[in-house]
Amino acid sequence: MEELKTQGCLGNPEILDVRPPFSNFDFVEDRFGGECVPIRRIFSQARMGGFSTLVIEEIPSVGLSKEDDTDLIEAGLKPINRPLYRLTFFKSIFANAVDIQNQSNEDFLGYAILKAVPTGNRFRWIVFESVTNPARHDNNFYHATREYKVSSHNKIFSIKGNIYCQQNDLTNVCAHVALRTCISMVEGFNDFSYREMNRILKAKGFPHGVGEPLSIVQIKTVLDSLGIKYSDQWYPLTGEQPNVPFQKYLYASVESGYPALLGFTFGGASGHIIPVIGHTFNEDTWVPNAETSYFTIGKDTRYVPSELWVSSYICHDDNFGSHFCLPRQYMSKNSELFVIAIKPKQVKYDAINAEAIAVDYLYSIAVNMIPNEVNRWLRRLREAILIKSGWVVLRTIFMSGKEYIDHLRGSKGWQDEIIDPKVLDVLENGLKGYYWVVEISLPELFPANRRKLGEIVLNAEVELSKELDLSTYVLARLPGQFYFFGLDENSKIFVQKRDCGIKTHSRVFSE
Amino acid sequence: MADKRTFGSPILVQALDKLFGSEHEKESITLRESHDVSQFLKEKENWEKKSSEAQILFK
Repeated sequence: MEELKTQGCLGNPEILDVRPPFSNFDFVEDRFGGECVPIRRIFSQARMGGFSTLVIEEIPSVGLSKEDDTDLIEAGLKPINRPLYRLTFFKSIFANAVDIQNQSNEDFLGYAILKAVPTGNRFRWIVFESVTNPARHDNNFYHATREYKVSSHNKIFSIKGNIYCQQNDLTNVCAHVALRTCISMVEGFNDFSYREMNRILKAKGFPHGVGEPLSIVQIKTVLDSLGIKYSDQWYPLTGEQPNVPFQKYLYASVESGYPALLGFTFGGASGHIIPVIGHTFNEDTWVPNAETSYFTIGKDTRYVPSELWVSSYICHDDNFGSHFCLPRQYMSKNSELFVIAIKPKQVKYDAINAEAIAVDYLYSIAVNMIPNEVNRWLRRLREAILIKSGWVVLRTIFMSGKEYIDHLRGSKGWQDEIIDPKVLDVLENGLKGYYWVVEISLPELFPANRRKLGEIVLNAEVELSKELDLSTYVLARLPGQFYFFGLDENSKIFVQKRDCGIKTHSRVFSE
Repeated sequence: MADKRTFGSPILVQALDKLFGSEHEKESITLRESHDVSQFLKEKENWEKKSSEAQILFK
């Protein structure tokens, strides 16, 4: 299929020097009117990224835009007969079209494709799609960016990010565009058209009517039809609330490189839904007291989730633009919420369950540790779990066995100690599937230098039984030792320890 | 209780035994008897089932 991103332009591009005193506000207002708030946001992001040159190209309606036009025609509406605009943003300074060939990916800040859509008997401009460079702050984390190829006057540039898009409010609404962003972030999908979503809904008996909102059933029908797995949770406006806060669902997805959908309503007839694509991390987050830091599983089981150091979730909002920070506590009160947390297709249970199961193993291992342990980090860990009642940080990430072993191969303790490569070779041969890796740290260690004491590795590809029977356990790595479980001839559980090499703490996993 | 063949990490333990010898002591371990986690998971599952009652529309 032809792509808007790489489509050749009609005629010659227009090249503008956008350094001050060039006014983004004047330009947007003069060219596209004052209605489209997201265009201003994208220009603001380009400004913050240090853009100096803007390339404006007219392109024909092809690919997903053409499908959109077909959808409009079939709905009895007339698409606006105007070319689309492809805007590409550059840090570098140049004045002529031929100079585009000399620009590099380092100069390229992203693109936006603007489309005129019908509204009543006139038209308005929307951002049909855009990817901009989000890496402005060191503490903003995106774990599922895609690389997109974009043409600017026939030269192809690359940009990493997540697609932002805006509804036409006719054949697609906020839920469609949120789904498009989410689906584009799942492996195997590069992008996904609204027309295809509407075709699925019609085929499944839940057709989308022009200008109508989408229901939760319709949203889930699209995901189910594509084989995309998710956990979902509803937070009613009043009454008893679920035992897992919505932030944990968001974090479970984004920390493992998957998006989530956050729907909310403040009591009106219809709500709004946005894709959540990343998070911030603030190592200096102030926690008023220890009690509020814990996530309590039950009266004897609690821990400190690494999500505690997230101050905002990063989202796109089709009403306002891309890469906004949503403070993690902002939505807690006075709003009805619905979360759809996308999870890897390989898993049989989600990251929240994995973390709960891991803490159970961790407590069991700690109970069997000796109080006067020689390894001081192991002793500190035992005390944190048993004496300080769960004063340990857990962070759960989905990864393949190869990714885990590669991570261990690159890991070094505080005294530069490493794991025996022969042990890692054995583990690599045995770990061929997909796993939940639950990293273990201490509240004083994790935020300061993002280091950990080890991890518990769980098989993500087996079903959880009704009664926890430890069948998901693969291994634990704690300071100085690996812990393997087994059953003896009398079906009694035993633990077999193996020297780990790293006796202190090591870096947490990061891609 | 899980099947002995799949419980824990028998393949990894066997492979490590082969490489380093099997003299490593197998210590018996007593798993704690708390039902906190299984109750937590059941409650979470029930809440997730209840989410089908939500009637929100998104536009």
